[in-house]
Amino acid sequence: MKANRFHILAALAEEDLHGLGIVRNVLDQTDGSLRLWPATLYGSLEALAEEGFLRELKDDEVPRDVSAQRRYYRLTRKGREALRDEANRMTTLAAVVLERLERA
Amino acid sequence: MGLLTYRLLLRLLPKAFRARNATEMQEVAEALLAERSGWARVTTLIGLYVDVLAASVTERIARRRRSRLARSESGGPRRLRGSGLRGLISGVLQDVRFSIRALRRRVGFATVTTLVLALGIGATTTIFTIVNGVLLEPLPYESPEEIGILWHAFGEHTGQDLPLVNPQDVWDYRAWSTELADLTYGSGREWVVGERQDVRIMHVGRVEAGFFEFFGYAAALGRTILPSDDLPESPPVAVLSHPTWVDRFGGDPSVMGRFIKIRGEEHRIIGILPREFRIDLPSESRFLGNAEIWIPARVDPDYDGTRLYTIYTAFARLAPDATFASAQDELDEMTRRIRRTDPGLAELRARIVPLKDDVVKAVEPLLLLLFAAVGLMLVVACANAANLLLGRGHTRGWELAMRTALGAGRRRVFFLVLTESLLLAGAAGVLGAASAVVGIRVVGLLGADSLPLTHAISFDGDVFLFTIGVSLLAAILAGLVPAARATPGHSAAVLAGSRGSGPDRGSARLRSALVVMEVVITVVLLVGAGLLMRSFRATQSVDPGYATSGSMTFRLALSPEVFPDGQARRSYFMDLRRQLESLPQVRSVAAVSQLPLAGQGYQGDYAVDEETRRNWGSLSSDGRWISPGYFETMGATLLAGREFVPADLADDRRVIIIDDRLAELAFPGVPLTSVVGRRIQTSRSISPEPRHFHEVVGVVRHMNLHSLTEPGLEQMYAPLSFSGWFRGGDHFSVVVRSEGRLDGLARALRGEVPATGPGVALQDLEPFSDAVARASASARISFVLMVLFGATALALATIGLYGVLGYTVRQRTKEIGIRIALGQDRDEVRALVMRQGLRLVAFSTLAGLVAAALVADRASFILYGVSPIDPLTYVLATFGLVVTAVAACWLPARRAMRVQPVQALSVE
Repeated sequence: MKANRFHILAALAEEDLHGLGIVRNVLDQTDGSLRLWPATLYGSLEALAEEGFLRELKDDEVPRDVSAQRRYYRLTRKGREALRDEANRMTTLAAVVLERLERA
Repeated sequence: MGLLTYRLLLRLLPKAFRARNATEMQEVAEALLAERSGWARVTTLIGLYVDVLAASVTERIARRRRSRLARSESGGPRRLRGSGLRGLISGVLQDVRFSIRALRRRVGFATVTTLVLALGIGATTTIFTIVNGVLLEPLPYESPEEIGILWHAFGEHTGQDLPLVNPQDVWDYRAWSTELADLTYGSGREWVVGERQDVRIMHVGRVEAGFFEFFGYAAALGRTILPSDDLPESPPVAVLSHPTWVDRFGGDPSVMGRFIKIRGEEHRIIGILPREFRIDLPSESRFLGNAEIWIPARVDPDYDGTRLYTIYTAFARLAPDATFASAQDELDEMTRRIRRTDPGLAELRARIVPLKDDVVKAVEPLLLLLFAAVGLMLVVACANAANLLLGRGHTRGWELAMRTALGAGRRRVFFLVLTESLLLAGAAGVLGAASAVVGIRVVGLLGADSLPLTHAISFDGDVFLFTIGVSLLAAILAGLVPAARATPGHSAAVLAGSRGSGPDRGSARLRSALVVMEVVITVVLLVGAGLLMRSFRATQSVDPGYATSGSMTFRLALSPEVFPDGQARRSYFMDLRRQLESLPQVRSVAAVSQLPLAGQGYQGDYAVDEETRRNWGSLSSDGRWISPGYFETMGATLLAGREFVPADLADDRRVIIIDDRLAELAFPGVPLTSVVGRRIQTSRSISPEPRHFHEVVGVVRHMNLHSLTEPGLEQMYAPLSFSGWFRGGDHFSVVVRSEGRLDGLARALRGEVPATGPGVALQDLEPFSDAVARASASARISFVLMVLFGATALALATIGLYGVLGYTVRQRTKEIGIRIALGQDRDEVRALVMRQGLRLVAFSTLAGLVAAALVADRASFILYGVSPIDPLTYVLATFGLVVTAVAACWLPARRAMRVQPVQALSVE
């Protein structure tokens, strides 16, 4: 899974967010090293939605106190699973690497 | 500002994507920028721009894939192509196949467009091949960028501002310098090599041990020169250049250890140099050259003679971390110490120059100018092709509209049209590459061989890549505008048959703009061509002080065994002269130590008063040794006194002939007739005796010895005594002035001269005009090429103008028909069209003249004897342009005049 997509999904794991929220969240979770550029972000969001990993919230699902201008995104079950698979894969990989480093 | 640009860039995104996301994207962009200032803001902005640009492409591809997936899933129309890369490739292939089919139906159009582009690409590639070989390729040495060449200047009137030094200078620099890692020096002479019947004048390089290693070369066979070979008492050895080994010794390895006579002295052959080794030098390096045989310089390490004697060219390699600037600073410091060693060196200035820069400095501006000119011509060719494609775009309008109506996307049509121009440019690229190979030959025929580094010119990988790049560029330049125009916004209108109802204003304006650009560039090129032509003619009409045609020259080597002394050689020459002068084609014959325009030469110092006697070396002259009748044979003008007579050739005669410049310098204000009989000190002594003087017996008008246009130093001529190697003891040149045609004379000389005896070798027989032509090669090449470029641009611009007007007339047929039907005079109709064309021409010519003046002013340093705003050139260029433009307007105008109202109205 591409880094952009992984981080977008990861940002949405805890809560529903709008685009700018995702950008901020990703900046936080990567200590500012991954900046999602706007066109890339919305391109990825559209692609991820189309592939069924996330969906845009309908107007009535959006929290009341925010402006309706912004679109919110939520992980689907498929997205959640894909994210978990990827995280597990990374953990396994990291474990193997650490073990190798220990032995060397 | 930054965000405004961002908003504009957003328009590049696919429309639907933009509609959905643009607002929020701007919000995110603002947020990303909010916390940043200064440099960080700039990089963020750049990141944002790149992001949008990339997405404008990727989103289009993604959208296409998605819509296709959607269609196939929803059971819509069958997918015609695969998805992903395969889909892209098959789409491109389909476009290509279609374009080929379409072009085949219009062979004429395809051929003309291809030829127009091939003309531009071919010419550009030709010039690039030269630019690449001469300017871009590094010299073929180890770390060539570290190598510099040393120049020593002694002051005015010394003639020394040359890449020549004394060996002691090199030794000192080597001992003192920290910025220079290594130095080496070399010189060279033309000497007679061989013995008895088999002799030949060869260029013999005389170099320090380690010379070849300095450049990163070892011997291909045997060894090069070792320090033990490079001492005065070392046994003489020689290293052969690869061509000499192959040409003179048949490439036989057993030559190693054999002996070869150089100037009568046996040298043992110790090595063969690699084929790739050659030395390239600025033209001012008078002695060192691309030698045929190399021998050790064998300079005495204890030598401490005057450092005014400079025949060695020195090279230096920068130390690690040193730069040419730091080396120069150090050099300034070191020369301060050398200046004290001799009063003649009081004004010594040393320079270190990157070798490559120095070698190409004479041709660099010229090549860059030609490259710029040919680039402009390429632009004209592309504009022309764009014009042709636009015209075709109009006739294709219906087809493209139909495609759109049937569901072809904007992008699809865009690429279809672009594919067509890519195909045409591709074909043109192949043609262009082929014509460049021929073009390089043609430039060679113009005399390019006498320019530096021409051996490095070849059609190699870089040139190939360049051709591909230029072809792509041409395809885009020529195809982008038509492709953008062709994407139909109003297919319904086109299909409904509104075609022909009135001019397509946008397209017409675009085509006019292209023609304006063509004409502007053409004016610039025509003016450039005119100025260079005038400049060339100016160099040709300079009187260099001698006749540039009507004589044959050759060099003569006399075997040292057959002609052991000056007496023998002198009487041989006097016999030869008598014999040749008895030929009916020959008017007169003379000999000279070295011909004008033949490169390296001897310089002699002299003094005219107490001060110059003390500061010996502050006055220097070009010295030549000549036989009786030399000035008459060369067509030079004797201003006073007499030529030498046979009695002057005796060794002890101390007579000279000086030129008018030296006469003026040495005896200011004295009438030339009174200069005859005066004496000039010609060898160094503070208390001179008679043997240090020469008596002036004649004054000759100055001759330009080193180039046709540069006067060079003052001159002294002494009698050719045929002893000592400067004075014809080894070899000399012969001039034969002809009574009639030269080709018969050449044949006669080739037969007569070798027959005069064994041990006589005739070399380099050629008309003197060939040497003159070589001397003006670069001026000739630049003007001929510029004329070619200018003429091509003019032809292209004329075609373009004709095309645009013809198009307008076709477009306005109906309107013209109505005008005529309503009683407008036909002459007025013609004037209407002419006016339209000439208005375009007048405007763009004016703009072109201004542009030309600006360019010419910048490039005036390559002009000779003509002002960059030479009125005649500008008038002629304008005249030439206007005449062809009127012709180009006339035909469409006449067609308009003959429009029949009935026909015009039934055009529908």
